[in-house]
Amino acid sequence: MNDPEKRIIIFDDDEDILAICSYVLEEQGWEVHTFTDCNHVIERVSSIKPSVILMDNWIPDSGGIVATQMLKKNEELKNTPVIYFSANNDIHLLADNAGAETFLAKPFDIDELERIIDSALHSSV
Amino acid sequence: MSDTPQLTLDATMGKNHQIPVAKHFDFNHLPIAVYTCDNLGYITSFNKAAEVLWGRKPEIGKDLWCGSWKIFYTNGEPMDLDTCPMAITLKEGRAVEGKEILIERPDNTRVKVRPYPVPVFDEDGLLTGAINTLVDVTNLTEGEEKRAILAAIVDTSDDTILSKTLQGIITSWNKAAEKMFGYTESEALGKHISLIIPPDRLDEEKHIISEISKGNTVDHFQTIRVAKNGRKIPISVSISPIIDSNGNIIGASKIARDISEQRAANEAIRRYTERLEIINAITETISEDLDLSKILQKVTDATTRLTGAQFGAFFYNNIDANDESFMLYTLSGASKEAFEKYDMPRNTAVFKMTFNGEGVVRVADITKDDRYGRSAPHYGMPPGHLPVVSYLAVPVTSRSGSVIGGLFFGHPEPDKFTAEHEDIVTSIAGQAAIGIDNAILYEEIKNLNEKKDEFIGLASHELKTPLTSISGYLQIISRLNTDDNTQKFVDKTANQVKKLTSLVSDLLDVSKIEAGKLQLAKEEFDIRTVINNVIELIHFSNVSYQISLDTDIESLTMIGDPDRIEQVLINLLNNAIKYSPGNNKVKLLLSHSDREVKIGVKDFGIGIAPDNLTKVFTRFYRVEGTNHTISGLGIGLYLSNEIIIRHHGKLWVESELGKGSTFWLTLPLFNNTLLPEIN
Repeated sequence: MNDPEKRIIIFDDDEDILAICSYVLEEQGWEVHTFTDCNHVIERVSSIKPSVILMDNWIPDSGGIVATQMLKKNEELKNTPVIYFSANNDIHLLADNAGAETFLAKPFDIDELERIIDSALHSSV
Repeated sequence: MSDTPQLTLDATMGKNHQIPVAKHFDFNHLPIAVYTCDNLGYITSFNKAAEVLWGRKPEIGKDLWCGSWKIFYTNGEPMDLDTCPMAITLKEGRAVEGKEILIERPDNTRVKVRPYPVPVFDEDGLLTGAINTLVDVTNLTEGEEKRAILAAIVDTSDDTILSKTLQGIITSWNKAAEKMFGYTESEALGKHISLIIPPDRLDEEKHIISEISKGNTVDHFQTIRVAKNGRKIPISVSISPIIDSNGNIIGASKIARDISEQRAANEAIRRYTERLEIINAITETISEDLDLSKILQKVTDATTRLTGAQFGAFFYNNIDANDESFMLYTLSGASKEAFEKYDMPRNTAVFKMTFNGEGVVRVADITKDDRYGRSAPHYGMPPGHLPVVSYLAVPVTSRSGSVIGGLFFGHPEPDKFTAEHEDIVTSIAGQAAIGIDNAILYEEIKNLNEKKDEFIGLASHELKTPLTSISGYLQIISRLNTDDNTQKFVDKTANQVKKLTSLVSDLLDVSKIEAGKLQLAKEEFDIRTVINNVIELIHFSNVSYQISLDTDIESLTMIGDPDRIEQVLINLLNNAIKYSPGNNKVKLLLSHSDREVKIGVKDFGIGIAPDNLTKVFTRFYRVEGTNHTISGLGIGLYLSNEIIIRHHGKLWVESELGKGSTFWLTLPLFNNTLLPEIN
């Protein structure tokens, strides 16, 4: 039943955040894949082929910025929208520079989360 | 001449007697004064020279004893005429010799004369009169006296006075010269002057002689001469030509003064001045500088220079677990590499004294000291160590009494450090200790401050993560079908989480400001829109409050960070509400000029005392005397002020206790210099 386009990967080392996002997004019909580190980011993203990526900043091993840069340098994956989320607002600029499409500050409104992911999905199509 | 009686010895002298000597002998042309008296003392004849000497003509047969009626002893006391030598000769019938008298002429000039009165007797041996020869000794005596005086001066002078020929042969040598140079007069006379000239200064003599030969004098020429025992004496010498009666230069006279003491005094003054300057400079550094390494380097450099040490160092009193090693901090006179080859100085008997605070160690030759060479493995200095022989170590003791470290000085020659050096270094060490204490304190505070900011940053981040989860779960709960009560409590919890989140954000912002890392994301935006949002937001959580906006502005574009400006306005409005208990009105004022926007937040609450008007913008300040139920960390206004300053704007407050406060801010509408920060 799942819309094949509504596939998302969430990179975050906090299990609760993964649980919250998964709950909210699955309710919306998303196929949610979660990872608590950002290792093998290219391989994972290549094999799952998500339509949207949610990337945490403070995540082992390389951190969200490096992982985003790697994704955006990859010819096949660079068009997959990355929503960067962090408790540190100052990362906003770094995330922009790394190529992330959107920034979401933690703590966040789940309405806002839904809206951003939705608009990312449509921009990627 | 006709007025002058012929002084001839055929003249009848006296009333009754004749002088039985050669007749027709004319005394008148003798260049020396001669006169005769009869046996009663009346002048019977005198020659021209006598008249000149007296300055008057005596009356023959009337003037008694002498042609001058005013005579004096040589000491200036008046002499009675009838006690003059001529009177004595006549009264006592004997010649008088060697008595000098002064005679005064009518024109008040005085001459010194030596009379030679001789009695004249007749064939029967009766005294018939006397003949007196007056020798004018005025000039004669002065010449003698001068010579005597000069001889006395030369003899008693503390300065060397000598004379030499143009060939440099010593012709006179006074007592002072004997004393100064150690050669007796007989040793020096006839010798060449190079006797006292150091070999490297022989050229000076050629120059001096050439000047003297030209008739010039050499004044106050400072040089070095050498004594018999080899001691070098700094002297100041004046040399003048000696000219004979025909005007030929035949030699040189030389007055030499030993200026060792003067030199030493000058040197002492120079040293004291230098020391004062150094001590001043150190005190200045210490009072102005809080940079520990700079203070230590200056102190080490200055004390090394003052003591004349070849190298100086400051070692920290950091003894490691093995009871060894003092940390080298600064060095002067040697490179750090010179020490890097070795381990730090170890806790040997030599060093221990200083670090144990036992006081100053000053040793003329450390290699001969009892405490030296007692410790393995080197039993002395390690091979290749800076060659220390003279050794001075002064502990630097903090106010608390603990030894901070020590100043160490070395010199490859023995006996280089004096008690005076010790005193100076000790007093500088005292000054330095104060500076070091302050610098250490300052560094500790700086470190603490950095650690605290780092902690706040980390803590804020770590706090936000669970807040994110809590807020997420709460939002999920409120989406579930819950009863009204549950919904109410979830909303209240979510509201508290928001407050907590905002406090954490503020703390994070403070740490960023302190670290200079607060970033502004500037863009063009409508300030009116921001104000509308803020009013809506505040009203949403404070429904009972009436927030009115007083403005004509519909829309106003400016450049800045809209999120940060919103943060400031939210903070000011929250404060206005917080400090107006029992009141439900807050006013917002918005106006603008060509260049800036002005916003006011006016409440009718408790107000601020005049003394506290500026304090409210300081970090962690909370209005004194307020009810403790008014919560807050005291960082809101501090943050707001920093944000406004970063926008090149101004934030201030007008207030009256009990009537309320108005916080005003102005922001430049367009400040192009801010734009680059967007990128």
